[in-house]
Amino acid sequence: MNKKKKALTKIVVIISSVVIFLLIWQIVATSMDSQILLPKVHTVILRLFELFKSDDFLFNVLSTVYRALESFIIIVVFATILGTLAGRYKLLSWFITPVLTVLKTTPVMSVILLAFIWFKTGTVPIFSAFLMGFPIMYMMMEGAVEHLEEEMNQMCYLYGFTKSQKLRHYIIPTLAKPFSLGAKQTLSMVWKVVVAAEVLTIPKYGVGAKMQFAQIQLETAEVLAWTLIAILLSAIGDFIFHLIEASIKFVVRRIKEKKAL
Amino acid sequence: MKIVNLSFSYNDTKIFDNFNLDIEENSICTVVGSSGCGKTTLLKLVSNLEKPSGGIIIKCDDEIGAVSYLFQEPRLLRSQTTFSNIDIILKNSIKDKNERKDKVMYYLERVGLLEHRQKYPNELSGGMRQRAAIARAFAYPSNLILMDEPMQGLDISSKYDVLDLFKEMWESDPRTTLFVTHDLRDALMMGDRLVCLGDPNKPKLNLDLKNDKPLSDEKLGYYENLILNSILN
Repeated sequence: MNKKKKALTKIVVIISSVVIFLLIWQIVATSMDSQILLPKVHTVILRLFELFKSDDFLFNVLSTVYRALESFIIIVVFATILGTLAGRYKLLSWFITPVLTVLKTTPVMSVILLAFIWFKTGTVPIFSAFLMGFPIMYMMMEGAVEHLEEEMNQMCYLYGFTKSQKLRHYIIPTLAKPFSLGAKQTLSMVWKVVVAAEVLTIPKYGVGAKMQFAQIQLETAEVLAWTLIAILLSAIGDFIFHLIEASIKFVVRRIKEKKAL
Repeated sequence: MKIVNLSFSYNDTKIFDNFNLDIEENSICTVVGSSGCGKTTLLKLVSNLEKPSGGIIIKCDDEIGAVSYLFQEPRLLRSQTTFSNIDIILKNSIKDKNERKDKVMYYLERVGLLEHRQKYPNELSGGMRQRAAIARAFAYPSNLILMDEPMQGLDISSKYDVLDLFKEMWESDPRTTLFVTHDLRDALMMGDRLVCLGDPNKPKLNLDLKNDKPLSDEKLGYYENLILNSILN
């Protein structure tokens, strides 16, 4: 199968999957005939458009985006530095291992509830997302540094690479892929935890808080509409991330190819 | 190049013990021997990747000379184009960009990769990658080339392409070369001298092949038997 045909097949299959899912939803909702248990697809979509038009829609969305981005940036900075150092220095890795084990095994809800006791409402989602997202990025970077090839280090040594040359031409490009993969996984985790924390802590603005209000009032259509917004936010986040990644790759490749002309 | 009283042990096993070897400048010395006899270790000691417990290695009247190393696998930087893989190693010795570019282009042309210079190592075949590694080895300003079975893993036709290319490059720019191989025929065809390792304190065999070149089939067979007996004993 050629590339173009493969891409087209992929799009068709994805669209078919979405259509089938919506169809099943509509059939089940029609047979149940209950707005509370499962509203019909068009009801949710109409509610979604009403939400778009509401005054505080942007505030709610931007608050969630802000919290997610803040914790994402903090995680990426801290976990990259610590993971890289831990990959290089075993003592640090051993020191962090117990903390990491606790973070990996603690249920998200426990973290959110404890954070709710310790911090202000608005800080809880950021803190919880940090604790849940940190291990993903940290482990990715630690593993990547541990797996830097000794053979390539020897090559750099023998061909007289300076430390900065080795860093620029070997280490950073080698770590770029696991870094990007770790950041991508962290970002999806952050969205989920931030919205979950907002549901429990109910800050003034936030997608999760709005979901909680709707749930209390048994507005299932609105809960689903906000859920769709949360999914959309995560998808847009992934798309922007992919766009940045692809642009960087494209620019770097063009620079290198131009150099070789 | 002189190796004087070289000693090195690995896990309490003496690999070299007061080992001595003289290699004529700008000649190819091939190194053979059974697995684990210290062939790769010798290259690592010469290139300072391993430190000897005793003795000294004098490379071309210079104790810390630069070394070009051809590894079993090409070890090219995956994130760099073929051009950049050579350009990078020249950055410290040639500051002028244009001069450096000319040199890189010259070597890429010599190894037949000029039109592939914008490609990345994963876009090249195994033989092409090893040719890029040869271009890097010759472009690097060194007096010594160390080869650790660089043809291993290549199919038979690529192997001989690479060997012929190396010989051709070497003839126009001869440098002292240590070539480790398992293939006795390659060792005999390529080497001006052949050393068979196995004893920690001296080579089991140290053959001067220069005067016998080109080797007749008869001579080739004779030497092959001699080396095989030496390895097996």
